[in-house]
Amino acid sequence: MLRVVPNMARHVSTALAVLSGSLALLTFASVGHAQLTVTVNAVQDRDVSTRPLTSPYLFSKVECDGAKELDLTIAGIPTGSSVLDFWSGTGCDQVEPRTSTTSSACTYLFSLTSFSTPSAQFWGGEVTVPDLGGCTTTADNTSVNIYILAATSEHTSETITSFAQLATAFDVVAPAPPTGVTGGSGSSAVPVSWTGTTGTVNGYRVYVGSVTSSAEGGACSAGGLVAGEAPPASATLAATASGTAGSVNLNLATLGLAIGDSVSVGVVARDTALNEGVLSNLSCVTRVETCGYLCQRGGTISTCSAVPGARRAGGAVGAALAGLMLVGLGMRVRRSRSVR
Amino acid sequence: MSRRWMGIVVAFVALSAGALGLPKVAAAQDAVAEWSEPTSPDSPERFALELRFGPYTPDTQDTAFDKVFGGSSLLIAGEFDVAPFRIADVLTLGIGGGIGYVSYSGVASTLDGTTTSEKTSLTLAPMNVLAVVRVIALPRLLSIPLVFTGKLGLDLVYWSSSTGSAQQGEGVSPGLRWAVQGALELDFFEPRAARALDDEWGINHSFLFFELYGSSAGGSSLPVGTPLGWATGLGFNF
Repeated sequence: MLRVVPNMARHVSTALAVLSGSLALLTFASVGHAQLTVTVNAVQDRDVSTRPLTSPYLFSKVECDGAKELDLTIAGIPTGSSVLDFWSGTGCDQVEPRTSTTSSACTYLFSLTSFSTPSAQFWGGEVTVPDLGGCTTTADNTSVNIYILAATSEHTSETITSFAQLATAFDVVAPAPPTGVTGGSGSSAVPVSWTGTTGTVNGYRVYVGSVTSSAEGGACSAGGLVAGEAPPASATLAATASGTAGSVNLNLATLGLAIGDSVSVGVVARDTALNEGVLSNLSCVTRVETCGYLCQRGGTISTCSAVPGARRAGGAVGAALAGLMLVGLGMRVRRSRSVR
Repeated sequence: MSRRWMGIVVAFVALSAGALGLPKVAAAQDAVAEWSEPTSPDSPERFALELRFGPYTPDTQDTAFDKVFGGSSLLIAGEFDVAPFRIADVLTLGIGGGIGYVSYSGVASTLDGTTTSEKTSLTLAPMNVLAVVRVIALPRLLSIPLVFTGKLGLDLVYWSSSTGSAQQGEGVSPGLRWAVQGALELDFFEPRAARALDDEWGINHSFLFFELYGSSAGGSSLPVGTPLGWATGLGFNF
């Protein structure tokens, strides 16, 4: 028993040492990782009212092609960090995927070496949308997971002191155009309809070309629009339709058409990243003087000056009827229950 | 009556009857016996609510209406009656107010008659105040579940017409309105359910009705009344 005690003490001290070492490692791991926070403050030229900056951050073809600048804030950078490495892929906070020569799970993107600690803002072209590596994808709406690693040496570092993830998606494939666009004739609400396209479409934009006046014969010319191509800068955005809507009404008077004028109309689809596709087939709308029911009926009709009052009276009558009905029913229910 | 409207009426009656247990034909004999006794002898019937629909074609005294709109459209209406006067189990007398809605849509044309792509519409909202007499003697005294009602009063129809997105005109057409109604009380088919409805909600009777009516709404404004129209619907006494 006496011989056992010293051994036990030695074992206990060894176990405590191992335990304390493990705790130290755990503490390092918990302190050293996932402390960075990254915030996308803005994307150059983006209207956040139509495309809010929420995770996953969705980038469009226009933002890729235009190399739009990002405004990032990275906080929690450990003191002594000399580099912020950007990687894309899976598990890039681990050493192995980054250093592997056989796996392509992680791809090095770029590094930032000039920053302050513990918080730094990057803007003015330091980071652009193409830098994030998703602009070369060909699939529609591709998710790209970005790792931002704080380290003490650039790129080659095997150990990191902290990291953050940034969920992004790249939609660089514009939707196909709708088909079967048809126009018509009228004045203040001329229907333009089409057959919707598939994919991540969230709306349509209806463009008109330049007006062909009735003096030119009224026949519809393309007016600068070309089916299968992007709308030219000279085209006028006449209307928008959200969701999967397949028609809009155009007010030709407000588009500047006189009676007898015609204009070509084409429709493009937009996806959730607001990528615009190419123009559909072109159709024609013509402004004519329309004659509705009252016009066709003819004659003189008194349009009573009491109309606003009648409208209010109608609403009041409806409300009074509903109120009376409820009161009556309430009285009757109360009476029924009191009888029971 | 067109086949389409007949179909609507038949479907409505079938749905209402189904909801009230009409298929339970086997219980009909018992039901007759139970229904013969007044559901609640002391329960006054002061109010009535009617929900009705039917085809409506205003007599606009022109050929344009049929040409543009092609005929009738569905009129949906509601009416609430208060009946403070009553002669025992013979009849009730009171006043009622109603409001409805019907809309017509067609294609506008050019001045020379060529069809365009633009829509033109006419919307009517009839409002009326009526004296209402309900003869309840048959169900109360003879156990025959039929109630006949007569109505007479003022009609005030708000109308509005537009072409494309532009309103072409609106107005109010006053006139007289009459109606006669035959109603089938549904208590007969499921007396227990009717009694439960009375106990829980205070609804004495529910009924299916068919109504013939006419209106002279027009005056110097757009004539939108009709010499003879019909509607069917569901009503409640409470």
